[in-house]
Amino acid sequence: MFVKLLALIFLALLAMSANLSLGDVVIAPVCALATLFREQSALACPQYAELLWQIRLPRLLAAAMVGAALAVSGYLLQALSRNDLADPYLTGVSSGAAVGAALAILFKLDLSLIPAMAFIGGIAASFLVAHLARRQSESGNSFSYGGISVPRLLLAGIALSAIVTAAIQLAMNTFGSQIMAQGLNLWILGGLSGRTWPEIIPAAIYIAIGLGLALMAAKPLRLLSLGEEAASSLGLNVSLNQLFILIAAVLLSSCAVALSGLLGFVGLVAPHLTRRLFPRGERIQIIGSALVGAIITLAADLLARTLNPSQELPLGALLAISGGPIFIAMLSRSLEKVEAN
Amino acid sequence: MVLEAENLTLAYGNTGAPPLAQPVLVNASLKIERGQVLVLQGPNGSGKSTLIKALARQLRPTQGAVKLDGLDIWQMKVQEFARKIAYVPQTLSAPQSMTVFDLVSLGRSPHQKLFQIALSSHDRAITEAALKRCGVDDLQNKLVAELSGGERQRTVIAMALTQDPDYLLLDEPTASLDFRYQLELIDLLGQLKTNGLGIGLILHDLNIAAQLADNIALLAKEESAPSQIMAQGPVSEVFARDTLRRVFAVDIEVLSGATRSVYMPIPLDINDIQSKNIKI
Repeated sequence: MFVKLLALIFLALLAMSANLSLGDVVIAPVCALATLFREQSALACPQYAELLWQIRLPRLLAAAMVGAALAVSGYLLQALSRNDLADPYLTGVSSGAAVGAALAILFKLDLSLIPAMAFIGGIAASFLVAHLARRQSESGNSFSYGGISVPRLLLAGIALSAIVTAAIQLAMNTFGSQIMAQGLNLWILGGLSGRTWPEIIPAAIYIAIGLGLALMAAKPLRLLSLGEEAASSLGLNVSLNQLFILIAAVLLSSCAVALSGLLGFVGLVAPHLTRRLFPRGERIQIIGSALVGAIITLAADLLARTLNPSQELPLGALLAISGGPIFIAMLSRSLEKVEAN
Repeated sequence: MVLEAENLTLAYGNTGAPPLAQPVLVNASLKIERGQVLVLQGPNGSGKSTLIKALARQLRPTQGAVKLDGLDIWQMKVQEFARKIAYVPQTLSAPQSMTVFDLVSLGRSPHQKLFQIALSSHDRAITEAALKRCGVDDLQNKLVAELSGGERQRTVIAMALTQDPDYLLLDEPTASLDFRYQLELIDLLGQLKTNGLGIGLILHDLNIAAQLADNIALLAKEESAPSQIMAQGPVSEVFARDTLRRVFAVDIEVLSGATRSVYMPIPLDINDIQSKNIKI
């Protein structure tokens, strides 16, 4: 287990240093690190200091943070719904967060408020989708993700995403400037270009809080994995803990959306891969998901920047192209299971 | 120390707003004292599981109250309740990748801090004792996915014992056990009772019930009316032929022996058995 964890950390560092070095200008990793951390060193290349500090470093940190946040959010939503097919994008949580963030942008609120607005939108969307997807529950528990029907959850999430995306575009075209509308379009497609420190620092704080909450929730997550009934007979306040976990999940995905727009499938695929690496133990799975999510997003963003030198590819599209088929495979396997029963 | 239900009306899916759901069970009152076993019996659909859920704080009554030592169980904190009452549902869907030891040790949760995962040496000792008591100590490193139905059932009972409760409520605990383990479970429950545990459980087998129970509550529903407790009391009073026929809608032969009786649904040819001089 320890070896696997070290391997993941190594891969994440490797991906970060690749993102630092590669691009239009290729900078040897040693030089790049020297430029960032030991300016006086002979290896440093001061002519790239601006590029590294203002463009590559914030962007790679944003990629790692967004990937980790989406993956852990997906892990939490999957644990809450007791279904491997839940993720922030498919359940509509990201879309709700996008509305909040779009409103913040439209009304030109301070950059540090974008994650907070995204959080409000994400919470609203999660309650709406949970309500739509809920089966009649014996306990009458209104936060309950436990009694949800998965097809309903996915349909409600997809419908909400479609409505929200269209609404944002309409709002932008009606109230915003043309430049704003174009920027927002790009943002809806998902991408990390042009992230700056004032956007990254507040998001980093919220994401750190979200990860801390997720790690704290390890024990409630384990109890909830037995089902609501068993969890409550073991003394867990089920609805309160579900709400706590939901808040952590929405906080994480909202920050990710505020930074990167709508990126799908990281939240679905990363926890899935992580559970294969670490079949047991919630804390290690949470840490593992964060690392796997960061690695996937760093790798995808590197490809988005470098595959086509003349124009950057949209990161969201790249992730959907690679993650979509995995989702379809998982969906058909899960439906087979349902039909077999 | 007593766990009692007072005049319960139970229904599913009530949100508190009208129209109220059709009740499943009405006017149910019963009492379980520590050191006693109450067995709930009745035909399918007579509300036994519903009643045990209400006792286990899984279902809030629409009328009446369940009280532990005079205090309404819904007034208690959920953790405090779980320290006193353990509930073994009919099926528990534990994650397949969890080990038996980890599952059973979750029974310590009500005694731990909310975010605590590590077990104290005391928790560990209690978990190991419960594993041993239920005969699953040699399975402790196995995964839940690898267990047979009976092993799983015994594991879940071990988890309930790890809660170190005053009362144990079990919904058909013998359902997936073969004869040997049924008898072992009955023996275990007998010991727990002697140790002062109050036990409420659902059983289908009249003979096992008669062997184990201090009191029996027979549930049944008549036509489209909700279920009720039709008879309640010691085995000798409740298991009369007429009462059993009224509840189960079949004839049940009562063969009285010197120390206990044997109950047989009629389709078995009683005369045959008697003519072979089978001793009770």
